[in-house]
Amino acid sequence: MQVTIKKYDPTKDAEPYNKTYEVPWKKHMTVLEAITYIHENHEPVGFDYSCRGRVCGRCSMMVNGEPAMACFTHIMNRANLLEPLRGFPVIRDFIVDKSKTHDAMGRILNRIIEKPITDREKILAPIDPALAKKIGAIEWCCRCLSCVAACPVINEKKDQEKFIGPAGIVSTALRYYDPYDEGDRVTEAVQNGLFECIMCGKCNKACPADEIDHLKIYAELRKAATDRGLKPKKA
Amino acid sequence: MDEKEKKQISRRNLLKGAGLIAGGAALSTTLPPLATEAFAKPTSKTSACEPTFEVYDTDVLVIGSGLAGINAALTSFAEGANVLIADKGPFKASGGGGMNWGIIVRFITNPQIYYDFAINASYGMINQKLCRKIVDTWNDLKMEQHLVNNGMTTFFRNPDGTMYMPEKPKGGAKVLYNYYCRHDQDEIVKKGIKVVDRTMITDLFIQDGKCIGAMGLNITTGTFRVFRAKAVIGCGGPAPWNYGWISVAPVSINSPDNTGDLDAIALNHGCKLIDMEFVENDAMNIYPEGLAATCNGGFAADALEYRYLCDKDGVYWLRDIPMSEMNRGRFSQEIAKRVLEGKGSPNGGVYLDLRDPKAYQSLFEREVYSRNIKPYKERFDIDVKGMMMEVALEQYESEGHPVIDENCATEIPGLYFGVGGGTRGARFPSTSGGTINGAIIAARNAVKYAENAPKVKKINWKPVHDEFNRIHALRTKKVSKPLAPHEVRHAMQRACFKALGPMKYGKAIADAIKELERIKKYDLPRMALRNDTKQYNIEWQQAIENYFMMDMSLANCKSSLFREESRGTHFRTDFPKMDNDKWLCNVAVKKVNDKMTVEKRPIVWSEYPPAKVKELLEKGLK
Repeated sequence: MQVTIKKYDPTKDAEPYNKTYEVPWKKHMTVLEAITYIHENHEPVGFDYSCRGRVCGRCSMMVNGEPAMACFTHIMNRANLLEPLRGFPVIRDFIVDKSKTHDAMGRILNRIIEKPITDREKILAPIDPALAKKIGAIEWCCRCLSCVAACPVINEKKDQEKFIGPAGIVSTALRYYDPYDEGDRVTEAVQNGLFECIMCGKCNKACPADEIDHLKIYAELRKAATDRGLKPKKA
Repeated sequence: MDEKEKKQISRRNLLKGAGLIAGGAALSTTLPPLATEAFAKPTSKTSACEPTFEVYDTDVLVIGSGLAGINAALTSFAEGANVLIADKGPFKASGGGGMNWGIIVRFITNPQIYYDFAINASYGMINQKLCRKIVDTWNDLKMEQHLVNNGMTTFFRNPDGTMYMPEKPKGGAKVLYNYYCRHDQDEIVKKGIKVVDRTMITDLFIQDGKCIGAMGLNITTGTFRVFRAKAVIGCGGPAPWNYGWISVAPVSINSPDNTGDLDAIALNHGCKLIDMEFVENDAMNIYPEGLAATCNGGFAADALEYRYLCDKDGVYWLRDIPMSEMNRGRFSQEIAKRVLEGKGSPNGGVYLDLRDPKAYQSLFEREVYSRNIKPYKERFDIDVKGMMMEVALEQYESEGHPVIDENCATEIPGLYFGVGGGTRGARFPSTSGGTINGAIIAARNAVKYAENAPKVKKINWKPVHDEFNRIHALRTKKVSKPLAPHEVRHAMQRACFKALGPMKYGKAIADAIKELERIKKYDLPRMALRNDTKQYNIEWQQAIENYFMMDMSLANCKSSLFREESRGTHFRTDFPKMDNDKWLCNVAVKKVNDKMTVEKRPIVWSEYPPAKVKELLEKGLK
């Protein structure tokens, strides 16, 4: 099997370049195994991973043009092209800087609440099972940012000002559903470009957390915004 | 030996170990002069090739941003200190805290019952004074409120929306599922606590026997960073990454971040490591190889699902054991024994029988397993329903660390450990609870120390220069017949795998020690990078880590060989009985003059004197 890697060391190379390696394919092989093989048998590759189970978010990259977790993606016995995650500054080879989006997500995910919760019974009390399911699903977001790399609005229109991207909206949704949050998350979502999304569903396809239903989340937030008259006129 | 001598010896050892074949002399000409000013003020004649040091100054430095590190930092912040985290991973979090998984947590309902339970679960090895503090801190913390106030939402729920909260038979605590530790990271963002990430601490800054900071490599660009602090809290992981190698990972769900760096650094500065012979195991799927022993990417059976395990002949050999007599230590040993009897699977495991609907259903008790059913089918065309799944014992945690007292202080003034030697013994009943509360205790005491820390009158920067030289020599070194860092590492991992399994045998451990010593003597000096770039050079990182992993591996093996009995997860086939008359003590490893020695150390007790612990272990809890 031939595996082509887009390599780049900004301290040495003028431009990123593709290099192809021969890798022996095996049944059920993962992309991460192929990269490790190249690193150990051909030449060093800059790559990062931790969990091998789509919970740390560190190994996301472009596999044949689509965002994927290297650790949890089956590599086909054919010519494969592996590139760093689209849209992020490259530090070296597959290592990219995700801090801009991560910091934005972190700020959104801070719960807005007046006083700390000091009631055990309240925490342990039953809640609406449908709500529990929605929240539980978003909790699986591992911040790999595959969704951002997949998003045509972010990557093709380059409207950074207007749209925060799928990861930011999903972060808002967690606090929108969170029974303890007291912030106006609907306004936040609208301000972050909720209506700029074209509902193409590519984020949902790229997301390694099957639990998260992106389009349903956007639709619910949009309905809440529309009901409150927050829908922008142009949208 | 006084502190100065000790410091010099350990420094020399590090240098000797580094095998400075080339580069040292050449590099020294490009180093700044040995004066404080060189760091504080750049010289006017700064040339392009002169190395630059970044110097950070803070009250409290936390090293490592996992579960312990984040909680140590949040506590230091709450106590009013300026705190800074240096972390090896990206994203402001790494190790166990860098994975967003459904962690199991407990809140205490009866501290006394839980305390007794912990003494028993640790097989008497835990520091009783420290255990008391951990349990009391935990009780005061109100874990469920602590986590929710850090951003957690609902925890794992039953289909009807009620809390999934199974009662544990021993009591004293209640269990919650699916705590997602990524929320803690946001709490760090909210408080504005600075995380200097992708920064690997390679040495502590010790002066006049006191810890005044740390130093290490900015992995992103290869610059060198020095952290000055009034107090330092070590929150690095142990080194389960040394346990074998499959294709992308050892036989461990643990993180590649955890190569035991900080523990090894402390050892080299004279701290003793204790409980290095104890580990924790789970039985996890080992196929597909790329997903073998993954953290959350597969399926596992533990002491609760043992009834669904069968051997290669399809015999459910564990079913006669009542649930009340099953625990993690016995679970591991029973599997290992079956494999030794030749009844195991081809890869040294057994089978989880998912043909049994009850076994299949048991996967849904943990969302971290059940969520993988669908992607295994869709992505890999593996249908686990109805499958005889091969599972093998992976090492998910290793319990040994630098010894600490009941204030989480190490033997070096100014250096605290969030998870230190003595917090767990052979096993602590809740890894997350012990880690979070140990870190809180460490931080409270570190802040107190920082407030009255002895003034540093003059700084000797030589250790910084030496360390800079050492790590750059590793990067630029050229040798004949070089070995790549991963080759040296895999040799260590293979050696440890043969010695540190759930069934240990004296001869096998002795052979592993011999092999490790051979690697140390002949292979480590041959280690050279294939690419000397300073930009995110993972080979450089691995090369540095390999020295730490070597110390940790030798400490694991030597402690395992020394303890000639069986206790908890430490099971010796040549000494299969627990022997409280000889071994109701901790095993401590120390390193002096590059020589590692092992010794007995009395257990630290308060409520239960050794005779009482013996009685507790032999007769069981009431």
